[in-house]
Amino acid sequence: MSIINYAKREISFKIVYYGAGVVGKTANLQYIHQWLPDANRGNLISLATGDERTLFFDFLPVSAVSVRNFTAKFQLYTVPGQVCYNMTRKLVLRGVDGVVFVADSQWDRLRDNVESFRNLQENLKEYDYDLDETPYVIQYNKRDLPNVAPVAYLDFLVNRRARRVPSFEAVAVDGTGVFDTLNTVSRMVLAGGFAREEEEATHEHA
Amino acid sequence: MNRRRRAVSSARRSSAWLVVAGGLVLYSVAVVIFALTGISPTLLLPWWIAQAVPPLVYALLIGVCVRPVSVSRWLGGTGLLWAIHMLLGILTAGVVASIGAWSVDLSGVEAFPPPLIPEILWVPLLLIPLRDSIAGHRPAFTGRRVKSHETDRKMAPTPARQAPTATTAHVVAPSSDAKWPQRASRDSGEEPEAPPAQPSGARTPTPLASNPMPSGVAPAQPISQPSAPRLDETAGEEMLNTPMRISFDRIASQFPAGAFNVPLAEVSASLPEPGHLSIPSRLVLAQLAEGLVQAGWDVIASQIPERLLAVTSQEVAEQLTDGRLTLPLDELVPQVPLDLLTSGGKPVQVNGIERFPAPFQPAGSLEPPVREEPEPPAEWMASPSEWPLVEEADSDRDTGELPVLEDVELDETLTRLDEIEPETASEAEPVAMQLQDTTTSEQAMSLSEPEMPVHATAHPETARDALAEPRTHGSLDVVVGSAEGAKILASSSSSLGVDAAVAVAKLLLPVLGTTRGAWTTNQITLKGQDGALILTPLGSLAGDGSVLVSAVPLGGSLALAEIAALRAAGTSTAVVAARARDGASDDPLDADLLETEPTSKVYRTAASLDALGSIVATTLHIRETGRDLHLFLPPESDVHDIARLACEIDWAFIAVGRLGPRFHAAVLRCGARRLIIRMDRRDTADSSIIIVGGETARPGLACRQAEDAALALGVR
Repeated sequence: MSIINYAKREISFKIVYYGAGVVGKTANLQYIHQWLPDANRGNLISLATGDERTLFFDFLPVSAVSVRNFTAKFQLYTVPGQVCYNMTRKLVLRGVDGVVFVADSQWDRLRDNVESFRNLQENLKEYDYDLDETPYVIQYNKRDLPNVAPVAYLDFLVNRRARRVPSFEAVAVDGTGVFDTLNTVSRMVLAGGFAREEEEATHEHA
Repeated sequence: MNRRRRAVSSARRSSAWLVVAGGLVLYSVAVVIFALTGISPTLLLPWWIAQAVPPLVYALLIGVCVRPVSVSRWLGGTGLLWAIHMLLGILTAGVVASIGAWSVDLSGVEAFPPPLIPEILWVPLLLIPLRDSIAGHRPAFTGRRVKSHETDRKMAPTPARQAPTATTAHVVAPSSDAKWPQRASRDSGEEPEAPPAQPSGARTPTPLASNPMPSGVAPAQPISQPSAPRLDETAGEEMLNTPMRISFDRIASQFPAGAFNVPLAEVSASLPEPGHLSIPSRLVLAQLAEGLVQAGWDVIASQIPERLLAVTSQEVAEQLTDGRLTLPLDELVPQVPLDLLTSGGKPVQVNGIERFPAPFQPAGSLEPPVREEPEPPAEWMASPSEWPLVEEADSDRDTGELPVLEDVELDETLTRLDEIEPETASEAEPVAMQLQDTTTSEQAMSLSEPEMPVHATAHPETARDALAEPRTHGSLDVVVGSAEGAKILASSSSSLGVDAAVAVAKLLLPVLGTTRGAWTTNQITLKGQDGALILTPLGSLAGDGSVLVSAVPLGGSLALAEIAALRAAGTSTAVVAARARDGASDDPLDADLLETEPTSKVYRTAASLDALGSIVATTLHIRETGRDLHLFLPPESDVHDIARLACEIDWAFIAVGRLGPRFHAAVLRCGARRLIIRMDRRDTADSSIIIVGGETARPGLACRQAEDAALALGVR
């Protein structure tokens, strides 16, 4: 759902943080919200249960750079990770421009990561999206914990498709890797979005 | 404004067909009403004009609603709708004729061509589902025109999203802040299409059918990655024939109660390989992609003497959860050759990504504060921490020369890291690092950057890339100093200068080198508006130990830098605790601490700190300054001792603040414990100090909860 407002010279993109439950998706948005300058961020809207589990989704609008006279704005969403909220996840994915797949690095959460990644592909397929055509990055979160799997194995689990994508080690609660992840997926989305615009312009002129 | 969204084809939308069906119902009702009432919808037009109108209208509608569309598809679509129009008209005329009341002259098959209306009212509805089919492309985006007061460009449905494909000839330089997947063959620059390198004795992938897995285990499905073969199909015969081993203790809890007639320890000792179970590699490799490896009872039944079983083998199998045992991945994965895991697809390539700078920067890192280094204030120089300083490096850096290093002997922990090949920086991807001193900088960088043990041991190239990752931003500055016989190895890549880092380290050496009851500090992290500072002792500070000081900018990889520093410290930090805190009673910092009853808000705050286990809230009042210290510590902690520690750190922060750097929080790592001391960012003399401590498995969450606690208690 990239939205272009030619009057205001704005282009908006939707980025979804996807992953299993309690992997740190909301923590990513909280850190981004905490550390972005006020002028670049809106309010973080979060609907969580009593135990800080995301009930519906989190939403954080942020604005970023000016690209070719357009102000690039990003809408950051998270999905509820629990298995039972798949309909919500599917809804949030609608019109997505970029995905950050957040994986828990702990050994005992690897299975959940794999299932969540598979769920991501299935839900994208519902909208006729192809993960291979969607800009996405992978974030291996909770790297500060003692019982984490090596990155090579995490890559093996969720990043060994025909197209490998950038991956980041992160500790979302203290911000490690959070902005690296966001910046990279944003750049991928921007590159894809503006390349598409150029193609459309070329097509129209032709 | 144009709003675009990716969607399914219009022909696959049930809502579109519902609209068409609804229109058909209305059409039928209208026809019947016309027929029964005798109302004729015939227009007073020459018949040839009336018949020319439908195709013209349809052509116009297709031109408007279906864009872009080729001429042939335009004509084809018009013809299709016109044909439907005529067919519907003929059928309608037949139906009306059967009713027999319509006064229209044209009826039955002889009525060809059919009348203009009402067919022309329904047929256009077919454009809703057939729009994409007529356009002849899969809609990556469907356009919806919305109002705008400006001349917005109309967004037509566009071709499918440009996918960053690996076939493009334009290889984009990766983001400087991304950890991009490694190419399997860096030297050749070509992407190997073949399966990964196999161990000696490699063989052609063997079909699973010819290598049946042990029973009780379903063959794992590869995780939606059709191009990635399963490991048991790609691994060499030698690998497949080498069994893996796991600790019996790790799965002992999964056995049903009463399965054995002897204690589990005795079962463990009775195994062919005491304490360990042997697992077929094929079974493990086949499931490794699932993030979960399970084995049936039959896999290990043969390894357990039958005499130890209290029930039959079949009963054991039936009582297992799902009939399987979950094996410990953390023991299995290290036994898998790394090259089996690291094979994969081609790295993603995105055309044009290099044209876009990093869009987001955390606040505070946009414009690093430029400040002059003030002279140390007289109070600070006269303080108890008045150590001799070795600051020759300052002038050396000013003149572009190398710092003096003659008096520095690196610890073993440092020289161990020197095994990394020196061409690290040159072979890595472009990284904005301006090293002042090649030798010292590389050493310090090796320490402050996260170390990837798996990569480093098995894949030197990967290790080099890991070291070269821009975990921190900006240039890396390194200096060596000393105080009280301890060497200070400081590196900084943040706006917090390396000299300030050394000064802070000197101020905090007493804190780092002493022990407070059960709190043995082996690392301190200071957090401030300019970034964070990590102090890690590399040996006994009572002797000739060293302190590693790493300054990390805001948004930098703080946790990884902490871990890397601890790895560098190894086990030597345990010696630090041996230095007793002598002369405490003479310390001018000793404050008169009065214990007061915590407020209800403090108690409520304590309840929110669940990441730190059981804690007790205590409030101490400093009589001299009027400040309160709210401590949330495990029961039986020496709150007065910890409070004095917090006061010392607070004092050090104040002293450092006069030099420029401002810190507001200190996190002391004490083994599995954390002690978080949070001061007010504001310069308020009467603000409270929050002290949170305890053992935690979630240090990040503990820090966050401590931050929330501080805010709740008015500490900003």
